[in-house]
Amino acid sequence: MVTDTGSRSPIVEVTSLTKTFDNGRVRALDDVTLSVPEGQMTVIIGLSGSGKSTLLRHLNGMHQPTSGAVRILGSDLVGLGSKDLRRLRRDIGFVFQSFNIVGRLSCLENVMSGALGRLRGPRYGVLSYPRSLRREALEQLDRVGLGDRAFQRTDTLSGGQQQRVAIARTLMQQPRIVLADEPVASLDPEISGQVMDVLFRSCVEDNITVLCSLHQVDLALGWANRLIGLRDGRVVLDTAVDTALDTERVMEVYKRLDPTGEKATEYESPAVHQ
Amino acid sequence: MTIIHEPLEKKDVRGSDQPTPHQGWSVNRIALWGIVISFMLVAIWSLIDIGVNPLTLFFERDDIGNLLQRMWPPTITELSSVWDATLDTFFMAFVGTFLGFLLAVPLGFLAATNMTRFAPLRAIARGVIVFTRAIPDLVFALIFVRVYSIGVLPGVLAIGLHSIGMLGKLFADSIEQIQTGPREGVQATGARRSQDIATGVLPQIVPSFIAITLYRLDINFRSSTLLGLVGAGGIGLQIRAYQGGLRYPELLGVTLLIIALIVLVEIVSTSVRATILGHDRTKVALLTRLRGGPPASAFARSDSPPAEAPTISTSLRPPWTRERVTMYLFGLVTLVMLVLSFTMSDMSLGDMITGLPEIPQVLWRLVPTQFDWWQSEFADLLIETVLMGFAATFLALIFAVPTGFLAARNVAPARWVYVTARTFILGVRALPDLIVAVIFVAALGLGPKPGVLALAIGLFGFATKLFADAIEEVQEGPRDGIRATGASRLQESFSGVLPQVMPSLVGNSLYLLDVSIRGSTVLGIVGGGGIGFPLLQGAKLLKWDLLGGLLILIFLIVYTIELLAGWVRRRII
Repeated sequence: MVTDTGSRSPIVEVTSLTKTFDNGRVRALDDVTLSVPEGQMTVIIGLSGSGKSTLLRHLNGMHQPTSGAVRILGSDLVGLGSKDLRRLRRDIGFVFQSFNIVGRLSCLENVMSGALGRLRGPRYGVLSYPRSLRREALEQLDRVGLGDRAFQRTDTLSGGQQQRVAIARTLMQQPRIVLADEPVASLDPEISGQVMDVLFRSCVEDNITVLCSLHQVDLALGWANRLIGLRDGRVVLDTAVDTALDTERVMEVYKRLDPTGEKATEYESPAVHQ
Repeated sequence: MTIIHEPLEKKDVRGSDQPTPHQGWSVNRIALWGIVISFMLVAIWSLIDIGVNPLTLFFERDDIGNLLQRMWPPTITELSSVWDATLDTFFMAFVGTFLGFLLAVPLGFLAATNMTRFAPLRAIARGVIVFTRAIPDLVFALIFVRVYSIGVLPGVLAIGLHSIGMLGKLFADSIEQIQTGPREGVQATGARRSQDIATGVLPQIVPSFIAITLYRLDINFRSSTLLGLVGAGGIGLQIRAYQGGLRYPELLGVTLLIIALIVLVEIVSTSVRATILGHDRTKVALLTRLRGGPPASAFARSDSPPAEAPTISTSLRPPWTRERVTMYLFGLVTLVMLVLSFTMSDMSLGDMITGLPEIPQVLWRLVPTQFDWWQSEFADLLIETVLMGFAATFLALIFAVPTGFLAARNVAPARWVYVTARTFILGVRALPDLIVAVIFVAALGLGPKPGVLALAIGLFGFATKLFADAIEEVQEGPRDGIRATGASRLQESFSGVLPQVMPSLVGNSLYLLDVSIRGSTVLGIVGGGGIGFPLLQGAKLLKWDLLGGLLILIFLIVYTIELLAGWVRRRII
């Protein structure tokens, strides 16, 4: 499972990335530097509000940094024009916590929308996509175990199934990188394991680099090569995942987690940081 | 009682730093009550000034009875021309709505904050929407008849132009209400803007766009029966001829025919709307709940095909599900209707295509260049128009509030009361107010009095429906609480229901005032008082400056009332 990826060229390079919101009042990311080689499976852990989503959203240009640089697939993301950004996004899949599929469309059409970057012009309705793409999308749906639901409306599916449709849409992009932002946070534990398996297995098969943020450490350890821990917008842990992984160090990331509930710590953390 | 009161008072003391339980008098609060009280005063003054009161209809029963006697029995002669006029009316409404839809869709996108970033463009789109909504279709028809000559075309253009107002506003609202998540998901795949709109936005808005447009078709069919009064084709032309020729039995016959058709169109459009929205899971939930059918989940399951599910589908074409068949049928019917409209009525597509681009030019001609058109009597007539609006609203509300309680299923004392009240208001709502005005003017003579009475009857139907619907949406919990204390049924309505519906009651009343003032501007066209008469004269004599000047004044008045009413509504709800 764990492969030596150190020799390969970095596919993601983040340098001194800082992001503030509300005119500097909230510091979401604080001087984050990291580099990811091609093919690596990285899992980012941390409390909610620790900056995981903000980091991932910088990697496909949905956020622009306050300072610092983001280089991905050889392009500098900062100040990239919208046309170049769109082209770059074709190669970067994004899996959202809330799925972000179009509920009223059929599963097949949602999956095919992953190919929009390859097509010219707007599409509406399954029949507006070329036959070859329809076949390709059906194969991707089959891959995530939903080949029998192609023409069912996506919002009639369960949460886990909807997220699998979203994963199939991402795979349809034929991306080189997949960014997954807490993909199983709104699913129950058993379904979570299935969805994570589908996501990571497909990415390994297609040799896609993965950066995935997660809440549950145990789900992460099965697939990850590398573990990054964020707290209050800073990298507090960066380690390869092997048998000797120190659980104490991993739990360190969550150490402010109060057993009475994490909301309290969330509100406290910025103050502690200053 | 004291147990309930204590914590409330404590909270008040903490909240306002005052020992008294009164709220402070902020500028906003003073303005709010100032507006509400002056609205009431104007309403009372308007009743005195125009000389109407809630019992006027009762006192005038002899005159109205006399007229009805002369109208009896209702007859329909010249059946073929009435039939042709009816078809014309329907096609006029249909093509007009279609035209309004075509114009309103781009405007809706331009006016939506999440679609158009450039604020000035948004402001222009909003401006067009507000203007077209404020000018009644009858006034547009009045102007267009002078330009395009008598016939169906000016009616189509008037309906189309006026429809932009409501359609554009509701379209923009529903675009602004879409979920951003699915769009984000589509954008993250590297889709272009046009692709993002087609895949991330369109599927979310199509059902509501269809529902809104069908609702507008319903409204447009009602008003299309009247456009003939100013020469814009359809059954209204017949009414004008019967009115002018004092052929009262025929007038009543055609009126009854129109009422029947309006009820029919409403039933058809409601069921089409339900069928199309029925495929939406959430809407199904609502519909089945109303019918007392099975829960939505059961419905959704039976719709999806689990029986044949286990096999992986090999077909690359979507199956012909009921939903897909319905949508194709709907499209086909629309197309057939459009083709029929241009072949069966005296409307030609060519005329429409050449006529449409002239509209901006026509409207431009209306911009007054000098001010010699102004006559001092216009000021009185404008004030009279506003007072008529207030008076009609006031009269309508006095009767609509209690009737609303009877027409609400959950409050009505017995089922037969509810059914009778609902049927009654459906009938009243189908009465076109201008036709009622024609009849009242014939019975009571010219002036604002018959106009106000006619307008009040129309508003009464509309208001009762709005109130009854609002009452049916109240929560049961608080009512059970009141009932559990041993309260009577009337007490239960006052303490458990009224407080819950109060905000929507006030909001709806203000909305009615808005509608009423817009309605009162055209009553003068049939002799019902107000500014409508000089408008009619101005159009007949082709005095563009006068027409344009009055329209601008009307727009300003209607818009001011709308802004005030909107402000109060937002404060109260």
